[in-house]
Amino acid sequence: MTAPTIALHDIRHRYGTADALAVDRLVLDTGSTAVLGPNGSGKSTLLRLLATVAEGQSGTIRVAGLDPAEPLDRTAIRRRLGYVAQRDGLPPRMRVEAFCDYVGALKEIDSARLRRRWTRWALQQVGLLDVADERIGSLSGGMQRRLSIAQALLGGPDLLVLDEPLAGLDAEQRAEIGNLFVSLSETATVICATHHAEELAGLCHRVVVLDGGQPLFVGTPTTLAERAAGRVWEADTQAPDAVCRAVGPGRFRCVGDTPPAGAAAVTPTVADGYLATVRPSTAS
Amino acid sequence: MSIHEFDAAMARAAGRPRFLAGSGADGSTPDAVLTERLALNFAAIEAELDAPAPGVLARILIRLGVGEGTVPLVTATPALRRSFVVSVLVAVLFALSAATNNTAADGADRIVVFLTMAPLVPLAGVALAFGPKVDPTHEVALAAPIDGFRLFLVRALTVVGASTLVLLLASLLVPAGGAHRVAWLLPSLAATSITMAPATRFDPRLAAGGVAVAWIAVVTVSVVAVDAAATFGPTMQVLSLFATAAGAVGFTRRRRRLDAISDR
Repeated sequence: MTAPTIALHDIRHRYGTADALAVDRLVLDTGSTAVLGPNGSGKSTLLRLLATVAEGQSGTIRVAGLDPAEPLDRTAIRRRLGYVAQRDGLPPRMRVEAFCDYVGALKEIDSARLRRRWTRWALQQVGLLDVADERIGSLSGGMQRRLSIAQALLGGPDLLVLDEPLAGLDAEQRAEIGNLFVSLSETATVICATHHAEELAGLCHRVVVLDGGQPLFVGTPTTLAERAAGRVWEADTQAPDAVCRAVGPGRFRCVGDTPPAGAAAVTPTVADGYLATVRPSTAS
Repeated sequence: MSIHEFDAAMARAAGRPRFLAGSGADGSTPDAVLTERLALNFAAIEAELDAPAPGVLARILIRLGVGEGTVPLVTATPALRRSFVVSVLVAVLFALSAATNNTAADGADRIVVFLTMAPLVPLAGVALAFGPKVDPTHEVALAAPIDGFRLFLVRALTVVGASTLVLLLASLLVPAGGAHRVAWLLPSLAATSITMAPATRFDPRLAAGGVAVAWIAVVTVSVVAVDAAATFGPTMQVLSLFATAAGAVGFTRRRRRLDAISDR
């Protein structure tokens, strides 16, 4: 079975009177896709629709040709799905292994022996095998996030929908999960919403940038970085019309239109391309 | 899913090339493949050796013939455990309240209170067994292929079964009333059954709250207008039986909502 392709057409999703998502056409092929965007840009709404945990209000979604609005198709999608929600949703009093066992049962792995094997494999993938007997509430935030990822891996899904998988992880853990992410995306369709443009989006086959519920960019990380070409510099001062972040004591990296005197142009990264996309040139 | 499917899926999920599952081009099995298979086998053996012993409840359920795929749904649900504890505590309180009564006049009142409040115990349990507000794993469960109807039913039946058992024991402690002491049983099933249909669309706590208020109102009006004995008499029992059936039909007809909605 090949990893699924996802297609969205004329999707409109509203919360109250506000448009949360407005996508005319978006096709996500096999491999990995990072969804970038500011808070409230519609990333989680998009992922919840793809994970079949929210109902589409209008338009069509197809996952491997299946329609999530149809009950039988929805179940078929869920059989191939691993989902990490934005909020962990972990029961603090339950033990790590018991939680995975429970999720395994939810994923229709009926044999207790088989659930145990999947559990141990998944916990090993995220480096949590040593804490299998601990209560979830005693784990750190980063460990709980990794447990959320582990439960998504149970059953070997070929569609992974991950909402902020790196949230709360330290640098080493982010690197480990990044490696796992690359490994998984060789055989599965992986879609993740993230704020980590370099560490995660840079590893993906493609990037979608959402803002105001609309896709502003769909393409490779390299292409996204190129969008900032000529608009990125490092300087000792911040420019008022640019987005700047400190890169060292008294040193700033800025994306904008008008570099201040003494600024040095630098090669844009994926993060620069993202900033240039959500904050387009005032000149253009 | 079989063990072979597990191995293939595990290899796939781990990003390993599929040749690990077969032999080399010349028909031989490459060393790397053998090493990998050996590692998988050892991992499986280690998993068996390190397997934690199932808990008391799990062992009882297995003895009772509950399927391996259902046991974790019963034992490992925090909302279920919390609601179960609440149910037990409330039931014991009722029993103690009834048992400490001494006078005949008071005894009648106590029984009315007991019969009125007892159906609310499993109702509260069901309200706390399912839904995004009380179950932290709700969204994980929703994204899983398990039938939401089955999950709800397993949890509801477990809570109702456990609390009914405790309430039956509590009924024995009620000092008067004879067979009347278990007149709460059918109304209890009716209240739970009626709650389950709207719980497919609304927060189960809201649905249970509405049914609880309606139940108390009906009993109060009946006790004032007629009398306590008639209130829980044959008419109430027959009506409860019909209400149970109607609730079950309504719940079954709305079963698909449990798989589709999370924004309740």
